[in-house]
Amino acid sequence: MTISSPQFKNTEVGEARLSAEVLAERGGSHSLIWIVLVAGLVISVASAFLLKTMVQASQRKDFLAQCAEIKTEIANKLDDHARILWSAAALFHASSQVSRREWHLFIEKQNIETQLPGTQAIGFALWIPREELSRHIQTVRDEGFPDYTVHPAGERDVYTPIVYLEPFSGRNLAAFGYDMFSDPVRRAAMRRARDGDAAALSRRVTLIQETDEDVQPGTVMYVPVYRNGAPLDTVDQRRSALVGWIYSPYRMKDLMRGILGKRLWEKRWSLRLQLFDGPRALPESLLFEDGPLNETSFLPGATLSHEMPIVFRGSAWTLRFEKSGVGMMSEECAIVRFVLVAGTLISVLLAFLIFSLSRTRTEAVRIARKLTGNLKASEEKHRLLIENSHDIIYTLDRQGVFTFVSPSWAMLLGHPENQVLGQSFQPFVHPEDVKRCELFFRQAMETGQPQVGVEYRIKNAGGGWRWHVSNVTPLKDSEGVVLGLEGSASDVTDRKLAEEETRKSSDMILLLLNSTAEAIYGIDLEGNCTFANPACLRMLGYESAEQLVGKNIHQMIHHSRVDGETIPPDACKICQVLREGKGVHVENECLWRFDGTSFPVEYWSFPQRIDGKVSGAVVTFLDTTERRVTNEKIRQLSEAVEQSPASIVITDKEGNIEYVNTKFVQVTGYSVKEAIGQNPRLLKSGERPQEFYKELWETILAGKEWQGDFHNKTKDGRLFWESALISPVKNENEKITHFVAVKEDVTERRKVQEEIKRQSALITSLLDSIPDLVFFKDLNGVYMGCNPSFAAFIGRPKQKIIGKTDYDFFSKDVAEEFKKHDQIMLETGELRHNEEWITYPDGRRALLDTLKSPYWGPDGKVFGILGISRDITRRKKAEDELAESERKFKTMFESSKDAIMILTPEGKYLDANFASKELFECKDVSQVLSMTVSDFSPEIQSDGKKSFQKASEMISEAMEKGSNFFEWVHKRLTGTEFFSTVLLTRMELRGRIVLQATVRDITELKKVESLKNEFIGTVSHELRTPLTALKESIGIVLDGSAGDVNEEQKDFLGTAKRNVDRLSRLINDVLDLQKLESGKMSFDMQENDMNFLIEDVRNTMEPVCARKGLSLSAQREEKLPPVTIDKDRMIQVLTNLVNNAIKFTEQGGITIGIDYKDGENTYRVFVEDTGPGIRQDDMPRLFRRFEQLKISGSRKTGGTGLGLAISKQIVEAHGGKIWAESEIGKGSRFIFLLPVKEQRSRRRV
Amino acid sequence: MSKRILFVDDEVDVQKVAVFRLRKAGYEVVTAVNSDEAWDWIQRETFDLVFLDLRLPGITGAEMCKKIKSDEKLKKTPVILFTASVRNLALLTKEVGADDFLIKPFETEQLLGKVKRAIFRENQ
Repeated sequence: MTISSPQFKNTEVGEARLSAEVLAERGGSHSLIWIVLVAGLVISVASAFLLKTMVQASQRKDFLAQCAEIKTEIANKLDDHARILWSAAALFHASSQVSRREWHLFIEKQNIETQLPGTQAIGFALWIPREELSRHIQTVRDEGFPDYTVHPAGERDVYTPIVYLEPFSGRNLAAFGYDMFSDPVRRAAMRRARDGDAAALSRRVTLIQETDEDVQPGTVMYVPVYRNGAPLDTVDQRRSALVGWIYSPYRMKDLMRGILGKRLWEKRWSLRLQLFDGPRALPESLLFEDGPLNETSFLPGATLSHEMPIVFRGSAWTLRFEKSGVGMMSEECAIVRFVLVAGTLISVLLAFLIFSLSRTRTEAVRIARKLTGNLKASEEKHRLLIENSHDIIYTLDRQGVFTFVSPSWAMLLGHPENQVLGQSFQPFVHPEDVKRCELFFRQAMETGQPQVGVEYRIKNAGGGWRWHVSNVTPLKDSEGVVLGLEGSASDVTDRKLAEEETRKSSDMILLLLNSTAEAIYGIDLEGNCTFANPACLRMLGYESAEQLVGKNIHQMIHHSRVDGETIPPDACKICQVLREGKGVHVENECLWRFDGTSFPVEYWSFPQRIDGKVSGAVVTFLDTTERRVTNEKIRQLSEAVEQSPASIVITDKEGNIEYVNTKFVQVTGYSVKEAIGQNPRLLKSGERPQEFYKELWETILAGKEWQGDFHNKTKDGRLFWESALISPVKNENEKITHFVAVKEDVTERRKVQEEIKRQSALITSLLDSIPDLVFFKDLNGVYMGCNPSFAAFIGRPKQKIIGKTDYDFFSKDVAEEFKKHDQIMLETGELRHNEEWITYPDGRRALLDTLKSPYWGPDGKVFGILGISRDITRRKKAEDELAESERKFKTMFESSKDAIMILTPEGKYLDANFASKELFECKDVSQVLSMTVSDFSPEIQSDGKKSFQKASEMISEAMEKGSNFFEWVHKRLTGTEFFSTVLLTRMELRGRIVLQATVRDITELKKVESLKNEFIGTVSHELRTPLTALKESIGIVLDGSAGDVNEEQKDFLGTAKRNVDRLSRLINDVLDLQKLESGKMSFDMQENDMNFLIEDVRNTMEPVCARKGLSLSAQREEKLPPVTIDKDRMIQVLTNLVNNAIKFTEQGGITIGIDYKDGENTYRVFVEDTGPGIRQDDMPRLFRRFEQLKISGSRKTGGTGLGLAISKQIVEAHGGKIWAESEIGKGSRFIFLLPVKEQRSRRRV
Repeated sequence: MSKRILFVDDEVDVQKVAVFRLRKAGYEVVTAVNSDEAWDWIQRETFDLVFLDLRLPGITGAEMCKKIKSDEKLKKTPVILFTASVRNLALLTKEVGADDFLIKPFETEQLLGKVKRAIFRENQ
């Protein structure tokens, strides 16, 4: 057992604490550093600043001094310049005339270049009033300057040309003759000089002498020259005394350079000078500047500047000085810089010094702290260890006496400290263990090495023993001499006890191992057998464990599979256990016996662990041979059940499903999982009543088998039939434990059964409903069955028929006859069909059409005789009648004189009678039949239409209307054409729609007709001619044109005339009628106003009416549109109607009118009278030819009898209708209806 | 001067009565019994009206009318067709260019009326 020490957290805490302190300290020193640094910097800066100020002050002083110096210099120099000029002026004073040459010499002597550097020239300008200018110019020219002019040119009051100028060369030449007064700047200075009698400096000018090179600003100094001896006290005096000026131009740069030289650039000076013309330093008045350029410096105080005015003889200039390089970066300030830098440096150094010092200190402190901490920590550790350990810490001296024991001693063992200290250990230790302890301690002390693991019993206060285990460490002094031992002991009583227990149990285990029938062996990590129990040895056929122990088990017994395939150790599951530390359970491997045979085993292998690490494995195995066999049997059995074509359900005794086979799943759609636990009633379709299930339960609970059908439902609701056998399963005590249901799907079978039932029901119904007699007999002629009709026929109920024979029902001969037929049929095996006259039982005779057929049984053999009889008496009659009528028809057909043909709607002849053959001049009827309509017609008919086309039209009409009567031009086979009439009638012949065509040759008729027409035409003409003569002759005499006539003569002549007229009318009417009827009348159809017509007729007929005392009125119909009519013919009709009305009306009046409703396409015209009316019987006769109604009195009316017939024809030809309405006593009304638009009616022959 | 009418009809009796009427009415009437004779008359003399019976020996009245109407000199002469056969008389009249027609038997007024109209139509 090892002692593990608790971890200390204290050290870390200590450390942390340490750091904080250090930081705090550091912080302190930090602030010092900063203070020092800052102070130092401040001081250095301050002193630097101070120094700088001082330096700068002195700098400034120097600077100013320099400025003043220069100014003085300049001023002086200017004075010098002036002096020269004055001396030049003096020359003029001294001598009355100064010649050019004198001037030249004088100036030369002055040596102005050296004396007055910067002076361009010295010259003299003469003051000349205008009036003297030309003289002057001349004078000068005479001197030898032919080109001399005073310039600039122009009229001025005075001129001041430059006349003398030295040096008289180069640039200066340009100034010769220049009138300076013309320039305002110069003028100002000149005036100043003149008026003040002083030298004057002009403002900034550009000198005349200037060329383009190096253009400098310049200035001119003037000194006045007065007349010798003139008073000069006042300005005026001076002005009048002026002779001229001495002047000297200066180029500024040259002048200044001359004055200053290079002074400005000298190190000492290092000034920048700007000279401005005027009192202010403005850039535009800059005259001159020189000196080193200022570098822009951002250091404050880097540049000094100063402005000072300089006045010279009234001219004010401004001097501006700039000195750069002062300030911090200047030489003077070097010391400042030095101070600054030095000071800073010193401060920094100081600060750093302090910093490092402090750091060192803190570091040292830190280390010290740490060490202390550590020490403290370990001390602490130790202390805690000692105090808190459950282990006892003790020390023994060399004698084995306790010098120290930790508090745990007291705690664990109950002896207080004081009782232990000073005692030797032996009394505390169990006598049996004392020796061991002594040995142990001695070992430690002698070797000087720590010793571990001594176990002993130690007394506790209660008198009991505790097992302890102890480790000791020798305590040595500095020389290594063992002073004593320090030891720690822990209580291992429990362990010991446990060990004891373990031993006990391992004995037990051993016992178990040896006695168990299960084979158990163990292996170590290498797979070598560590033990094997007797059962194992027995099963494997080994005699002793030595044979296995120590050997590699895998090699010995587990090396291969049943089929001989080697199992490599890696694949060995048992060994796997060793590797993975997980138990395995294997069923399908085998082990090998000592004798080389193998047997199937089921084994478990579990890892052995020691202290959590796998140290080996224990394997238990069973010989599963027998089990296998049993399993196999079971398997086979269950396979059978599984694969049974029947659904098998096994339930517990409550009816909960425990097992279902595959078929069940298939049939019901429920999976095994879904079924198990359920009650079979889940299949219930609900069809069966409760009692059904109740009965089932009762049966099976009583221990009996139950058989029945279920109408069940699959999972998806489909219904099916099952025939089930449910049996109870009993255990040994005859108690029911399970129920087994074996079910067969009989859905199909039931379906079939039902089908059969249905079909047989169908057959029965059929048979029963067939009016025919149906019966069947067996091979001996005994009736097996029949239908009600047959029973009715026999006159007996079905039951009475079955079992009997024909002999029982019919007379012997008849029965014999039947039998004969039956026999024949049975022999031939074919159907027999015959007609027989039968006498009903009630004496009626009937013709039966009997069909007899063999009755084939299911096995293919003849079973009996099947017969169906039909009473065909009526049919026969009908057939006979039909045949009769056909014959009649045929006779008529053949004997008719008219050609009658039957043809198809397509125009093909199906049949033709004799007459047709004759008509068309064919050889025989069959020739006719080979023709079509087109063959018997010419190509074109008389109306121009193609026969082919017209024929189909005619046929269509016949088909549509049922019949069609028309004229047709036919062509005989011989080619001759002839007129005919055709009557096409649609009819049905033997189920086919055909047309019957009756063709009549009307050539004769036509001839007759044309003859008639001709006759009538001729006759009428022939009749008319004499009539004309007759009429006129009578007329002439009658009206006295041929002489006087007496009354009697007049009377008879009148008679004659009347009759002539009548005759004439008759002829006309006949002609008209004939024309109309033959369709030969032509109508001149025009639009007319009917009202007008009526009016016309009214006018014409009015006198006639008036003569009879009748009124005649005409009604207009305004809404009637113009109508299309033959005017004359209509008038004819109206006249006729009115005439009739007049004829038949005695009193009252006649009205002509129109009925028309707006928008209609027909209108009615009527003629109404107030006559006696027309009898209903007479109505049909009205419009007939030559029919005249009698007026009361049977007086002939004198008409032709054709009027109405003609009117009818006319109206109908217009496409209208005419009729009469009348009421006896009230009057009559003749109405004709006409279409508004022309509409010809079909002409009919 | 009275109007001259040429009356062409092969029926003597008819002619007699018609001519009587015409003469009674004041017309001068010349008669012819066939087309040739009629043609002669027309060629030789002028007439104010020609009455043509349709049924004539030789050329028919219709032809005659056509002939007259196509003749430059004669076409102005009014022609009245005179016949018993009514068939398409109006049409025929138009066809042959006759001015009018009269149906036998006729009323006296009819005859005279038509004559008057024909002659005076021409004169207008």
